[in-house]
Formats: sequence, structure tokens, C-alpha cells
Amino acid sequence: MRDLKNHQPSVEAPGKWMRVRVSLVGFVFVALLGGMFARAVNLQIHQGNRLQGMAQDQYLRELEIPARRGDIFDRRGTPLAQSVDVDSIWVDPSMLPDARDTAKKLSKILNVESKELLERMQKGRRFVWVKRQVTQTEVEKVKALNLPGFGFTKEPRRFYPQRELAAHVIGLVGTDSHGLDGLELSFEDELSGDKAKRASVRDAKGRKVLTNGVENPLSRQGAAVTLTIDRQLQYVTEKALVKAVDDAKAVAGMAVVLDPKTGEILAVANAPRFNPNAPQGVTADVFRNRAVTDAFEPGSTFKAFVIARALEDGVITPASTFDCEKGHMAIGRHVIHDTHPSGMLDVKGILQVSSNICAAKVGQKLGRERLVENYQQFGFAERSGLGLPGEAKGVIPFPRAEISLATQSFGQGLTASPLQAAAAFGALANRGVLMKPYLVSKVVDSDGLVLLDNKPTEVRRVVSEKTARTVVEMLESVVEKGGTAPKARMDAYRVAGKTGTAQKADPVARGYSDKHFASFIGMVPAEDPRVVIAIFIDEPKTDIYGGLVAAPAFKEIAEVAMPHLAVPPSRVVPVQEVAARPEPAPKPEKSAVVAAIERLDTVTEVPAEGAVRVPDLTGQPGRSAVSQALTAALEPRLIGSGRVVAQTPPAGSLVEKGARITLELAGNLPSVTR
Amino acid sequence: MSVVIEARNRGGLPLSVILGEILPAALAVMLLATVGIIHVTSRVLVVAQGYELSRLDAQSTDLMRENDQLKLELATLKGPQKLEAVARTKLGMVPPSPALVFHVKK
Repeated sequence: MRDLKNHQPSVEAPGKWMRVRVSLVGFVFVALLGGMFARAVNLQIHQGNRLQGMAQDQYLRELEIPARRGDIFDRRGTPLAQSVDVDSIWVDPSMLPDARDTAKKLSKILNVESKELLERMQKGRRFVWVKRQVTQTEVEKVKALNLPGFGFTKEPRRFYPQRELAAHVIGLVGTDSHGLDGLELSFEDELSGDKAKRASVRDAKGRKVLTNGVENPLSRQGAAVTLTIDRQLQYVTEKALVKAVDDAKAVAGMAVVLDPKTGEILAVANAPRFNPNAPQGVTADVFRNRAVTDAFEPGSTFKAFVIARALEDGVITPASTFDCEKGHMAIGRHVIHDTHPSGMLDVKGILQVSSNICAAKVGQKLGRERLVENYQQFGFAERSGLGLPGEAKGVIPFPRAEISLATQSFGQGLTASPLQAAAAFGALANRGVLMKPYLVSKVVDSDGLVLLDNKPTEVRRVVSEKTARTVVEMLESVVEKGGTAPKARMDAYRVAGKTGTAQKADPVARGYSDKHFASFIGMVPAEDPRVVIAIFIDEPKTDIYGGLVAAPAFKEIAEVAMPHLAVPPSRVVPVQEVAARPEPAPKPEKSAVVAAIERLDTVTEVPAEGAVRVPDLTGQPGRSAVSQALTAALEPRLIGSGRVVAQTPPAGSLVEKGARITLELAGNLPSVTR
Repeated sequence: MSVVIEARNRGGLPLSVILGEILPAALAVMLLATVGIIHVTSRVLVVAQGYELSRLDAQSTDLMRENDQLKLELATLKGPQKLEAVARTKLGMVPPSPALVFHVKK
């Protein structure tokens, strides 16, 4: 047995061996660390950039974030153009089992040429658009095919919720949301917003990981454009214009409605119209905003400006008379005709029957320089800077020949756009001050910063207030009996206006054709005009005169515009008959809430003792209303005269006996036939 | 183990000295480990929040799209052409004659 107690381990030997082992281990670690350090230097410094790039390729994706295109609104905030994201369909052709068969199937669903689709698929790319900006139904049908390789991407698409309304003014955008025409083109920079590119981290499955936060998408939205257009007036104007064009079997029509006091354009209409939501197949001719881009010989409406200048300069007085030569007057080898042959006419008469001969004589008295300068003062031969593409300037050539002086005096031999003509009439309506017409009232970006704020701008005083008032009063005779446009006369409002029937120039034969422009430009109410309405009908077939073709459209628009703008009538109109009562229509379905409230009302309202129910006195003549109120034990209090238009407390409510009932009466109306 | 410590103690190194030498190193290791754990946890949380944010962003985009579509639908339904058709056919309304429009004086 070994003596373990006395066995002492050697102190020297293990210490040496330990140091060797420690040194060895230390050396190994140092070598490993050195190797790792060398590798780290190699990876981080020598290969750093290349590896960083490779890594980023795997987990970073650059996303293009399209800006939301700004909306366009009318003056009351009704959207006229909006952008909504819709699906676009793409395909990876390499994943398709049979490209030809797929193209055929898609052709039926998406209404695309299968040959064209197949050609695109066979080009060998990994990404091919099948159809962009499709409907939800089309997406569902394509998904139902259950074919591999298809993808669906959201893209913004422009929609025009009011369809044809003001389409010529707003214009339209292309597939890539770039403005092609109208305000969409003019305000492209403001509307389009800022497209952004952001690097986004993707995980192994390709999912987006937003570790750096998100940006408010509204901050990149395009600016909102607010127009001076009034949707209601625009609708009425377009409806009346289309009707006038259809009735006259005309080629086209234009209408402008503007506020003469501010220069705000309330409506611009063109016929034929188009739906900007489906512009495919529409010709460039239909797209054209003729009211702004077309300049043509306007005709007799210009006589008002000649008379105004002649009166202003004292060349004539309202009492001056002219011999209208019984409808024929020779100037050199040319003969001027009047549609309504007349003898002696005063200035008002010249406008009333629209005598070309007498207008030519006024022009002769005025002189060439003053005639041209006058038209320029009224804003012709210069662009108004409306902001729409292709705005016409018009031409006022200097009338060297005697016949040119004569024809320019009644609006032939010069050109102007409907917009210019309406603005110039606006100067007469605005007591002689020409206002700059404008269409865009405000442009505000997504941060609320106002980029453009148009305010009424006075261009110049063209004629004195007295002259303007005199001419407007004379123009009132045009719509009266004996004038050229009795169809523009309104019962409740005083109307002043001028007809025009211009011959169209024949560019080939270099003379005048047998085609015409019929027009009527008027203002209402004549005592303090709130709107100027200009109607132009291109090549009417059924009749050629502005008073017959264009004047009814003026009246139709004015009849809606006046109540819409809350303009009080110029004169009291007796009620002939109540507006035709419509066929009893089926009652609209009541919602459960409304029905419940009504039930509650009928059940709980039991007259208490000493209480009476207020009778319905609206529409009753004053005397009868008083009698009924007294019968119901109420004390009537009358305000105004005529028939009851309002009562307080309302009919059906419960009040104490002897309570006062206030009756508001208005209009001395004769008895109404019901 | 106790044999070894006893042996070392017998060699003359007291326990407090040994602990005094090991403890700082142990604390340093623990500190590093704690920092590492916090760092990893925070990265995991950031990534998780990134996924959540991404989900909410997608949801927000969808809601905005839906909102845009509803606004468009509303504007379409409020179009004057549509309103007139409904007013005339469904409700049997007609425009009032000018004489029946009463103007309230301000």
C-alpha cells in the first residue's frame, strides 16, 4: 500500500508544464484572434463596399411612391376631378403555360386585341402590362382564370364624377396621370405633386419592414385647384346649349356665363360634349374648348361697342337719327344689306332692329383709328390670360378700305372669341369698367400654402358709367316687341342684349360662305346686371338668326341663374297658374328612424286642456288667414301684404289659447288655380 | 473542488484575493452579456415594430383608397344630372316658375 500521506507532488515539474500549456493555449488564441482580425480587415475594408452592396440588394428595395394628383373643385367645393387608385394587370410571360391561349382568354375579358397582347408577351421580358387601370370586375375575371404569372398593381386613375360637366375646361389626363388638355395640362406642375423614392427594408419573404417610419402620403399630394365655375350654372348652361344646338341642327355651340362685376367665369360650355372618363374614340374637334380657343367673325353683337364709343366721344347722341337706306347701301362695288329694311332710325332703333347700314354710318362717323382703338379698349385682339391652353387672341385689322370700315362696324372682318365677347359685354354691364375674366380662383398645396389666389382685377375703364348705362338701356329694346330677340325676354327680370348673325368666312373661295354663326349676348337684370350670358351657335340649319336660335338658350340659362344667385326680380309677376303638379309619385321609402320619429310625434302630441293646435295658414290670403287664426283662438300678427309665406309657430305645433301667431305675407298675388 | 481550494489556500492565496481577481472579470462579462441582450432585444422589437408599422401603413393606404372611392361615389351620385333625374322621376318634382320664387329681403 502506497503511503499517500507522505506522497508530496513535485512543485517544480507541474509549474513548468502548466506554463508551457498556458503559452500554447495563449498562442493558439492569439493566432486565432489574429486570423479573425485579418479576416475582419479583409471583409470590412477591402471587400466592404462590394459586400454592402450585395447585402442591400437582398434586403433593401427602392420603392417609387407616386404622388396623389390634386383635386379640382368648383366654386362651392364640389369635386370636378378626383384621383382614385385602381388595379393594373401585369404578367410574367415565362410562367405562362400557353401564351397564345392566355392571350385569347384575356382578349375576351379585357377587350384587348389578342394579337397585340401575344406580341407583347412574346418579346421575352419578365414583366408585361396586360391592361392598365382596369375595373374591379375585370380584375375578378382575370383572377378567376387562375393562371400563374399574373400580378395586380395599384395605380392612380383620374375620374371626373360630374362626367361631361365642364369637361372642356378641366381637360383630361393620360394613363400616366399627366395632363393632356385643359386645366389638367395648364396646372400640371401644381396638380401632379412630388413623386418620392424611398429605400425600404425587405425580409427574406419579401415583406416590407418599415423600420425608419412612414411619411404622411398627403404631404406629397398635388395642390387643389378651385375654379370660379358654378356647377349648377354649368349644368344648366350645357343643357340649354346642347338643346339649342340640337334644335338648330347646328355643327357646334359655345356659351360663356360670367359675373360682370368680378370677371369670374361661372360657366363655359361647348357642344358637342364628351365624357372625359371614356375619351377613347373622341375626335380632337370635340375635345376643343371652342369658347376659348376659337376666334371668328362675331357679327352684330359688336354694334353695341361701336354705339358706346360713338356716344362716349360725342360723335352721336341718343337722339341722333340715321337713314338706313331701306335696307340697301352701296359702298364702292359692294352692297350692304339689312335683314329688316328701315328708313330713319335713332340710335336705340339701330340696336333694336340691328341695322348694318346705320351701324356702318356710325362707324364712318367714328373713324378708323377710333374704331380699332375702341375694340382694343374692350379687350379684343389680346389674350385675357385665363390659363387655358390655346386661348385665342383674335384679330382687329386696320380697316383701310371703306368697305372694311363699314363691315367692322357691324362685327364682320375681324375676329374674337366667345370669351372676349362676353367679357366686353361685361364692361358695359359693369358700368363701363372692363374686368379681367378668370377661371381659377385658388390653388392651395397640401400644406395649406396658397400658391395662387386670383381676385377681381379691373383692367380699365372703357366708357363712362353714363354711356354704359345708356347703351344697356338701349339694349333692353332688343328683347322687347319689335326687337330682334323677343325670345330672350323674361317676365320677372329686365334683360338687355344683342343678337348677332354673322356670315362665316370661306377660306378656300376667300369670301363669305352661306354658313352662319348665330349669337346672342345678354345681361340680366338690366338695371344692375349680375350675369352676362353669351351664346354662339355654329352653322345652324333650321334658322340662322341669333334671336331665334341663341336667344332661347339665353333665357333658359337666365331663368335658373337668377333664383340660383338670389337676385330679386325686376318686376312683380302675376301668377298665371301654379306650376304643373307632377304625377303623384310613389312615396320614397322612409328609413326606420324617420318612421319611428313620426310615429312618436303622432302618438305623444295630444292637445292638453287650454292648448290649441296651430293651423296651416301658408298660401292663404291675409284676410282669410286672420279669420282662421281667430277661429283657432290665436292672435294673428301680420308682416307685409299678400299671401302667407311663413308662419311662426309652425303649423301643427301646440300652443296656449290666445297665443300670438306671426304671419309673414308677400306678393300681391291673385288667386291661385290649384 | 474544495480540495483544490483548500490546496490553493494552503498555497497561501486567501479566498478574498481570488474573488477580488475573478469578480471584476465576471462583472464585465455580465455587463457585456446584459448589453448584448438589450441590444438584441431592442433590434427584435424594432423589427417587430417595423412589421407592425408596415401592416398599419398598408391598412391606412387601403382605407385611404376606400375613402377616395367613397368620395368619388358620393360626388357621382350628387351630380346635377343624376339629381335632376331622381327629383323628376322618383320625387315628381318640377322647377318652380319664376313667379313662385320668393326672395327674402335682407
